[in-house]
Amino acid sequence: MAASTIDRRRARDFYIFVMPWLLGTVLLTIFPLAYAFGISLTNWDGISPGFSWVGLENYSNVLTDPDTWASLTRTGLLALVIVPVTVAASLGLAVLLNGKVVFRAGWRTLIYLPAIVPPVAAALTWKLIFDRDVGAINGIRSLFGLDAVNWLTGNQVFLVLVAVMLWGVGGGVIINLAALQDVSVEQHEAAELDGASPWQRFLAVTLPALSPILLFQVITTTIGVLQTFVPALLLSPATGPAAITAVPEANRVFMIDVYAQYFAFSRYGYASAMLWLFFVAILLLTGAFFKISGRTVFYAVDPRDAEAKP
Amino acid sequence: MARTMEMSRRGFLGLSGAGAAALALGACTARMPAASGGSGASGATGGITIMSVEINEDVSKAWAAEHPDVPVKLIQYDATRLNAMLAAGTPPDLVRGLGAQETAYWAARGIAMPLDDYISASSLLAAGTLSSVNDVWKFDGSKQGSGPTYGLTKDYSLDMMHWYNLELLDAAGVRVPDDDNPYTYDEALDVARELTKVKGGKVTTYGLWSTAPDVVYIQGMLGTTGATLLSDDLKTVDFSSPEAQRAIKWIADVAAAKVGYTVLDPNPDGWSGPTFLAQREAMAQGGYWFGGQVATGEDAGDWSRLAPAPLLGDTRFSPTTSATGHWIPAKAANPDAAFAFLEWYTAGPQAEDRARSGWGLPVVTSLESELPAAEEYQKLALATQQNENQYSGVLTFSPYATNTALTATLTDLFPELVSGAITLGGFADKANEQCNELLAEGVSRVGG
Repeated sequence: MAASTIDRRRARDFYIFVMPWLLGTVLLTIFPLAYAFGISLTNWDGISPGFSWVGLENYSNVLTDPDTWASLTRTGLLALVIVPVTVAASLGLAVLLNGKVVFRAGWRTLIYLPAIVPPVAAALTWKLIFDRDVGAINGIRSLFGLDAVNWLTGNQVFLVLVAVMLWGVGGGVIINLAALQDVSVEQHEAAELDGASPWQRFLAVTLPALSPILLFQVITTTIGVLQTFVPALLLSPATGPAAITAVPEANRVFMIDVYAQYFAFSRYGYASAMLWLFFVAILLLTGAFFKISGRTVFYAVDPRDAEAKP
Repeated sequence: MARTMEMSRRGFLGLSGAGAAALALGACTARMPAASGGSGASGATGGITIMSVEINEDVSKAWAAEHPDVPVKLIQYDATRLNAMLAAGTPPDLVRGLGAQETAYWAARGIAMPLDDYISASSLLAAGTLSSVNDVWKFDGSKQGSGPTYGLTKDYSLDMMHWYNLELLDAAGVRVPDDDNPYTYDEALDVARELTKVKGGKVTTYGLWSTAPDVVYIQGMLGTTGATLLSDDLKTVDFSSPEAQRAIKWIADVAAAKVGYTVLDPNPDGWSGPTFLAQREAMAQGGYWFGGQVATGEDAGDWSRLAPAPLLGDTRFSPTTSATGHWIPAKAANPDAAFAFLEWYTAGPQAEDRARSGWGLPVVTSLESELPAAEEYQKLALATQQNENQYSGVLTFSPYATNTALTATLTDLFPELVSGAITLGGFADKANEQCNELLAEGVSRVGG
C-alpha cells in the first residue's frame, strides 16, 4: 500500500515536472514541424486562399536546384572555417586564462563580454567598422596611403561575416574554463613526475578530460553555423524583403535562400521543403558526430554504466 | 510495477502530444468572418486592431479622446505577421498598404474588402473631395484604376519625380531641370558623372539618386514610352521589349558607372534622406513628400529643389508608385469601426496636420490649401507639383505575383548583367523565364 502511494506520488511528480517541456516541445517544435511538412507538399504562397497539393515535387525541385547546392556549399565552407577556429580558440584562451596570469579576472571579463553583446548590435557595429566611406578599417588603410576597399560587397564580405561570427568566441571560453576545473590535478602531477612536458600533459590529460565538452561545442557550434542567418542578413547593406536577393553572393548561405523563398518569392511550400531537408541533414550530421565520438571522446564515467544505475 | 509505470508514461506522452496538436490545430482554423458593414460607419462601436507604421500612439490617443467607445490596439506593420494573421483568419481590422503596388494582389485573392459603400456614405469623404490619385486602390479584375475601391490613401506623391542640390549642379555647370524640361534618363546619367566625386576609393558625393532593378521603377520609366512590362491579361511580363531593354540598360549603366547608390553598392543609411541633406547625394528620387525631409535640414531649403519625372520616352508621365494608405481585410472583425477610424484618419484633423507638415500631398483635395508655402523652396516645390499633376497617372501591376517577388528575381540576376557575365538579352530571357514562372504559380492559386 505504502509502495503504491509512493509510486503514484512519483508518477504525479514526473508529470508535473515534464509538462512544461512537453507542452513546449509539442507546441513549439513538433506542431510547427508537422505544419511545415504539410505546407511543403503544397504550392501555397502563405496568403492565397487557394493552393494545390504537389506531393514531393518541392523536394525534388530543391534537390535539383543548383542554387540550393551553391548555398549549401557556402554554408559548409563557413562551418569548416568557423567550427574548428571557434573550438580551438575557445580552448586555447581557456587554457591560458586558467593559468596564473596578471589581471586574470579582467581578461576573462573582456573576452566573455562580446558573447553577451546582442548579435544585432555586434553585426551592425562590424558593418560600421567595415563601411567603405566612414569605416575604421578603411580609415586605417588611408593612413598608409591605401585606397578604400568596399568590404561589404563581393567576396570580401565573407571575411567580415567570419569576423562577426568569431566575435562571440568568449562563450565557449567560459564553458571550457568551467570544464578545466574538473581536470584531475593528480593525473597532471603523475604525468609531470613521469617527465611529461606541458604539451604532452595537455594532450594526454587535459584534452581527454575535456573531450565530452568539446564534443558538445562541436555539435552546437556546427548546428549554429549551419543555421547562420542574422549576421549574413545584417551585413547586407540593402534592406527589405526584395533586397534579400541583394545579399552579396559570398554570404548567400542556406538560410538566406530559405528566407528569400519564403518572404521575397512567397514560395512557402518550396521553402518549407528546403527547411525539412535541412533538418534531416543536420540530424544525420549530428548522428555522425555521435558515432565518431564513440571512438574519440573519453568519459570518466561510462555513459552506459550511468544508464544502468537507478 | 515499474513496467506498468513506464507504459503509462509513454501512453500519457502520446496522448498529451495528440491533444496539444489538436488544440493547436483548432486555434489555427479559420474563424468565420464577421458580418461586414453595409454603408456608413457612423456610430460604430467595439475595439479595433490596427497594423500600421504611421498610425502611432499619438494618433491613437487623439482618436481615443474623440471616440472612447472604439478603443484601438496598435500593431507595428510586419508583413510576416500580417501573413500569419491572414492565414489564421484573424487579421487586423485596418492594415497599412501601398495602394499603387498591392491593390491588385489583395483584391484578386478576396483578402481586401471593397469600401465603396462606406465611401459613398461618408460625409467627410463627400463626392469630389477625394483625389483621383486614390484610383490606384481600384481594381476590376483586369485593370488597376477602375472597379471597386479597396483602400484609402493617407497622402501621396508622384514618386518618379526627384529633388536636386542646386548648389552642386550650379557648381558643376550642368543644366538644371525645370518644370517644362525634365531630364531624360540619359541626361541625368551624364550629369551624375559630372557630379560624382571619389577620393582615395571613398565616395564623397554621388551624382545620381539611388537606383535598383525594381519592377515598380521600371514600370514608372516605361510609362513615358507608352509601353508596359505586363501582358494585357497581367499573366506574363516581357523584359525583352525595346523599351524595357532601354530601361534595364540604363539601370545597369548607372551601376557600372558607379554614379549613385545601387543594389551593388547600397546606401548604408537605407534611404536618401540623410545622404541628400549631408550633400553626399546631389539628387534624391522622391516626390513632394521629400520636402518634409528637406525641412529638417539646416539651410537645406536654400539649395533643395523639386524636379519633374525624367523621361525615357517622349511622353510626360508621372505616376504615384506608393499611395501609402490603409485597407480593411475582408475578414476584419469590426469593419464598421475600422472604416470610422480610416475616414477620420484620412480626412479629419489628423489629415490637416499631415498636410501642414509637407510630408506628402493630401488625398482629400480640400486640404491642399494647408500645404506649406512659407519658404521659397516650398513655394517652388508646390508650383512644380501643380504643374506635374497634369501628367499623373496610374500604373497597373499584376495580381498574380508580388512586386517584391518579381523585383527579387531581377535583383538576383542584376550583378551578372552589370559584370558583363550575361548580356542584356540574356538577362531579359532569364528574367522572363523566372518571373513568368512566378506569375504562372500565382495564376494556379488565384485562378483566372
